[in-house]
Amino acid sequence: MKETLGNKILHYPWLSREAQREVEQEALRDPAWRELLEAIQSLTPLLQSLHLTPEDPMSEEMLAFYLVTRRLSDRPLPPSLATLFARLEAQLEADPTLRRRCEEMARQLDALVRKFDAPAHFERLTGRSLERETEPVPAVAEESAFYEVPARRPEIAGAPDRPARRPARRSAWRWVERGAFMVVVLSVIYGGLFWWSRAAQSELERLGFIAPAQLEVEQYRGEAAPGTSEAERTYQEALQEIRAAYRSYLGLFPHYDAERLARAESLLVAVVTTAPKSSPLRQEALRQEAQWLLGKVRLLRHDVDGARQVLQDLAAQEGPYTEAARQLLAQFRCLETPELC
Amino acid sequence: MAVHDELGGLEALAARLPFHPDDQEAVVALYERWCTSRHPTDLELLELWLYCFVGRYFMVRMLREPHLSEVELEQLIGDTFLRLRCQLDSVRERDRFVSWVGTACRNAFLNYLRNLRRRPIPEPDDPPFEGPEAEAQLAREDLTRLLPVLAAAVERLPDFLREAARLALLEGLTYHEISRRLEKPPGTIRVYLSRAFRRLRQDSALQEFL
Repeated sequence: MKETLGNKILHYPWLSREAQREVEQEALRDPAWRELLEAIQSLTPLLQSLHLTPEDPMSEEMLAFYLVTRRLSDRPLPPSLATLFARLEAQLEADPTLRRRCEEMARQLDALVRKFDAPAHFERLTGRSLERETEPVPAVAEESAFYEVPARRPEIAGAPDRPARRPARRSAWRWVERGAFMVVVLSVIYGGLFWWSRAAQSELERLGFIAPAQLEVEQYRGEAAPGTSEAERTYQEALQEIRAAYRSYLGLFPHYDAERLARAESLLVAVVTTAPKSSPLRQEALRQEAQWLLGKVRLLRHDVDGARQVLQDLAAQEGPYTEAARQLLAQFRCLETPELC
Repeated sequence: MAVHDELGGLEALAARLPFHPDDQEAVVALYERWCTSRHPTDLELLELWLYCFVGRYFMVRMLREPHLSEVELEQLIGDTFLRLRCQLDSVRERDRFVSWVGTACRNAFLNYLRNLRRRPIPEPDDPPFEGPEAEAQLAREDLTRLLPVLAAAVERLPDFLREAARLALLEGLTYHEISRRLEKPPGTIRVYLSRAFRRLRQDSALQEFL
């Protein structure tokens, strides 16, 4: 008796109103059955929508859903849907009338999708090219959660009946992205090479570096202005030699031609000796400038004693290079005896 | 032009997904990941799934309303897909993402039917006049929305309740048959089913169907 009531309760959503009342009356006599009845009553609207009556689970709606879903994917169905579909297929197997209905609906479906091209439609709507995209991955990429990418809202494509405008914009944006990426990559490479180039230089080469501003000549192509003294012409020749001696690729790995440096040194020595300390103001400025450069050139030639001598001479005088010469001498001392610094 | 012999190529799009389109756990996980990371690959998969879901929904509806043409099918799929794609951000409860898409599809179809009825002068190619019956029927039974959501809700039940609920609701077994299949006394089955139905009643994804 109670087992029969159990089945009636499971059929409750699909019973007539009168039959439902009878079940309710029966269940009222036993609190255990009442609990089950109340539970299924709470789901009645949902179960009625299903039209999944125990006697006839295959409504037209169910048949349409089954047919389209079966064709949609070969992947395994979630277990509960697989259970339902197995039941429907058993019924299809057993019922020729139902099978004919199913075949008729399948023909109707074929006619409906005959001219429909879902991939092309999808491409038009999204601006994506499925052919260019890789084949489906076997499982959802777990690592994507760890990517740091800027937030992006889904973009709006063109209306479904006309080609989307997005591809052109997206393509242009891709070029901008690629350009930015290249700039970043080149900057990183250049930064690495610059660091390497700095590390490859000796301390003396670094101290001896001559800023380009100090090598500027007064005239185009370095020709001396008319009326200049012999010392000035010699000084400008020395500057030209230093400029020509300098070699570098994009500012990396700088080095100097030893022969030209030697020539520049002898020219600078000539300037310093031909313009004595008591010479007029202009000559004096030239002499100090030549001394400063001579110190630097000697450093570049790794002639530390020679450089110290000329820099000490410069530091003892009053002039624009006095302080710089003192600092350079202090750096010398630090190089030679680091514990003093 | 490629030849598609199953669902107009919809199955080819579904094959690009790494899961069955009705695997709601995977869909919601994908959606949540996209919400968090905004990774383009996740968005591409979401778009694919969305198109497949919307495409299947309207194909089922078209089978039930055979006077509608494939042109209308394409239009409905396209319009609904684009609208949902633009609103992907606006789902408040991420675990109800699939229900949200299903409801939007249903509303789009209802609006489409209502607009057909509102046309003042029928054009020669217009489908037959649509009565409100189609809308009422859609409100009553819409398995393309409901079945995947119900199946997923059953999957979320604890192991010992899941099988009982599956056998009762989806396999249609009798009370006695369930008891035999699970090798449990009828009293235990009664308790299992009561608990399973109560839990389903509380499942947030099923609320709109109750």
